[in-house]
Amino acid sequence: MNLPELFQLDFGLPWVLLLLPLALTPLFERQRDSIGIPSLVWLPADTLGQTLRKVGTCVAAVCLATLIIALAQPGTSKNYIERIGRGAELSVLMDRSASMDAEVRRHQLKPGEQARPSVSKNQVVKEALSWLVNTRPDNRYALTLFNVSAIPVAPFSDDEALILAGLAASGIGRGPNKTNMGLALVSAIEQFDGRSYSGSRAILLVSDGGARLDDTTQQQIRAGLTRNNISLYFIYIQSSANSPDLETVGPDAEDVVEEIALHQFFQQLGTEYRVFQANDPESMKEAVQEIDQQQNLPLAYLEQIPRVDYSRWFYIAAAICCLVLAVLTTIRVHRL
Amino acid sequence: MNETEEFVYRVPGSTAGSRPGAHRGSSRGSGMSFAAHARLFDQPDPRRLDLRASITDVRGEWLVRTYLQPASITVHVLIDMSTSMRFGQPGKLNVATQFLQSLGISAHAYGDAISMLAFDEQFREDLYMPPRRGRAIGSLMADTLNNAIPATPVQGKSSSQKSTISAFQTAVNQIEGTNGLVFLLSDFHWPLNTVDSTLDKLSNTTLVPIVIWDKTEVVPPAAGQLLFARDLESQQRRQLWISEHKREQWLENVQSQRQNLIDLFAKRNSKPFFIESEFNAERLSRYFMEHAS
Repeated sequence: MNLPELFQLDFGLPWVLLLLPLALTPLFERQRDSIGIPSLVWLPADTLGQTLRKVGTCVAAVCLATLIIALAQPGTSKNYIERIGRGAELSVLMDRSASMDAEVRRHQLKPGEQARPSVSKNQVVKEALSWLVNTRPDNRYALTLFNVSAIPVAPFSDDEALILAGLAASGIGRGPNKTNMGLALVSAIEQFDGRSYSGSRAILLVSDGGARLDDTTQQQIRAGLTRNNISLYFIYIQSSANSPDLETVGPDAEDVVEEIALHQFFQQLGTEYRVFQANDPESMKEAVQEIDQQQNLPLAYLEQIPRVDYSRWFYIAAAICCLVLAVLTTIRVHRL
Repeated sequence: MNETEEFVYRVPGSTAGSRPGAHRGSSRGSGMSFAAHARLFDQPDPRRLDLRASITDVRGEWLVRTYLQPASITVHVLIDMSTSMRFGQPGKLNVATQFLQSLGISAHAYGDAISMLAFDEQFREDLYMPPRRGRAIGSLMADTLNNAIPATPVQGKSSSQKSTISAFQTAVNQIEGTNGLVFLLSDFHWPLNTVDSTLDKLSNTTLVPIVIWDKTEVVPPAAGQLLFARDLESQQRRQLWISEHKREQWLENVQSQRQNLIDLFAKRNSKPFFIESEFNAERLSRYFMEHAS
C-alpha cells in the first residue's frame, strides 16, 4: 500500500461514512464513565491518570472511526500493474496423422553432398520444436496434437519439461490417416480464451497436408484469431515430390488442391499469417528460427488488477484499539 | 442493625429549662441534688425540714432543704442531605437514620424533645420537625429522611457547595440562641473556613458534630488501578493512576481533613464524633462519657 494508491481510495458503501460523526461521541463525557465520589478534596493530583484518560478517549474515537471506515469498505479499484511480458505464447498444433510418419522429402542432392540417413517428418518436427523450447524457455507453450480430433497434450505453462515430454511422446505409435484441421484450429484458439494478454500470441500449425474447411469453421477461426489477437504460422511440410507448392497459382488450383485452398483462406485472415514450406530438416529448422525471432520481443502491458479491499486493515486497527480499551477497562476501578 | 440500641448522652453544666427531665437543671424543685437551705417561711414545705441545720442556725429560723430539679432539654438534629451524603454502602444517610432511631429511643428515655432540621442545597422545609416528645419520634424522623426526595442538583460547579453552605446557615438560624444539645450530621465536605462564623450562632448549645464518612471514600482502592473520579456535587472530574505513593497521599489527606475538623471544633469546646460506615450507639455513649463534664 503506497501513497498514491491511498489517495485513490473509494468506498463500497460510501453512505456509511455519514456515520463518521459518531466517532466523536467518546469525546463527550458520560456520567457512568466515572465513579461518583463525595469529595475530590483528598484525592491526590495525578498527571498520569489524566494522560491515560485522554489516550483512552482518543483511542475510542479512533476505534469508532476505523470501524465506520471499514464498514464503508474502502479499497482501490483502478489499479494497474505494468507487466513486461517476456516471450510469447505459442500454441503448437501438430499434425499426428499417419502421413507424418513418412519420411521427409529431401531436396535434390547437390554434387558432392553426401546422402544422410532418412528421418521421419515427425522426427524432424519434434527436433526442431524441441530446439525452440530449449532455447526460449521464457515462452509459454501449449501442445496440441490433432488427427481425427484435437488431442490437447499440454496446456499453457512455463514448464518446458512438460512440452518436451509431450513432444517426445508424439513420436510413439502411428496415427490414423484422417485429419480434421478445422476442429484442431478451433480448439487451439480456445486455449487462448480467458488468458490475459501477456505476450504476443501465435499458433504454430505444423502439418503436411491441407484441409477444406466449411464456412462455419472458417468463420469461427477468423473470429477467434481476431478476438485473441493470434498470429498464425503454418509450417507446411512437403511430404513428397507430389506435394503441391502452396504458391502455385492457377485458375482452379484453389478448388482442386486442399493445401492451396487452406493457404488462401489463411491469407485472407485479418491477422498476421506466415507460411513456411519445409522440405527437409534444415529448412524446418530455419522456419522455426525465424518464428523464434519474430516472437521474442518483450511486451509491456498494463494489467488491471481486481479491486483491493483495505477494510481488513481498518478492522485490524479497530481491533487493536479495542484491545487498548479493554486493557484500560480492566485496570480501571469499577466500584469503590 | 437489627435492634436499635440507645445511647447515653449528657450536657455539661445545668439547663435552665423548667420542664422536668433527666439533665441537671438550675430551677428548684423535686430532685435529688441538694441546692441550698431556705427558710420555712419562704418554702413552706415542712416535709423537707432540716432539723440539724435549724438547730445550728444562728438566727434560729426553721430551715428547709431545697433541691435542684432535673430538667429536660431540646435536642436539635441538623442533617446535611446533600448529594454526597447519598454515597456509599449502605449510604451515609442510612447511617443518619440509624442514628435518628437510636436518638429517638434515648431522648424518649430522658424525656427530651427532639427536632430535625435537614438541608441540602436549600433548607428542607418539608423535612422540618419541630421539637416533639414521644417514643416513635425517632422512627418517624428516620422514615421521613428515608423517603425524602433528593433535591434536584443545582447546576454549576461551585454553586452547589455555596448553596449548601447557605442552606446550612438558614438551618442554624432556626435554632439560633437556643440551648440544649445540637447534633450536626454531615460528611463536612465543605470549605471549612466558611462555616466558622455560622457555628458561632450555636455557641449556647452543646454542639456534637457527627462526621459520617464511608469506608470506601476513606480507604483508597488497591494500587495499580485507574480511577476516573467525579465529584458528586460539583461534577468536577479527576483521573488518577493509583500507585502505592498515591494511596499514602490519599490516606494522609484523609488524616489531615480529620485533623482540620478536630481543630475547627476544638475552638468551640467540642470534638467531632467520627462514624465510618456504621453507627455504633455504644461508641457514642462512650464519647459522651469522655467529653461531657
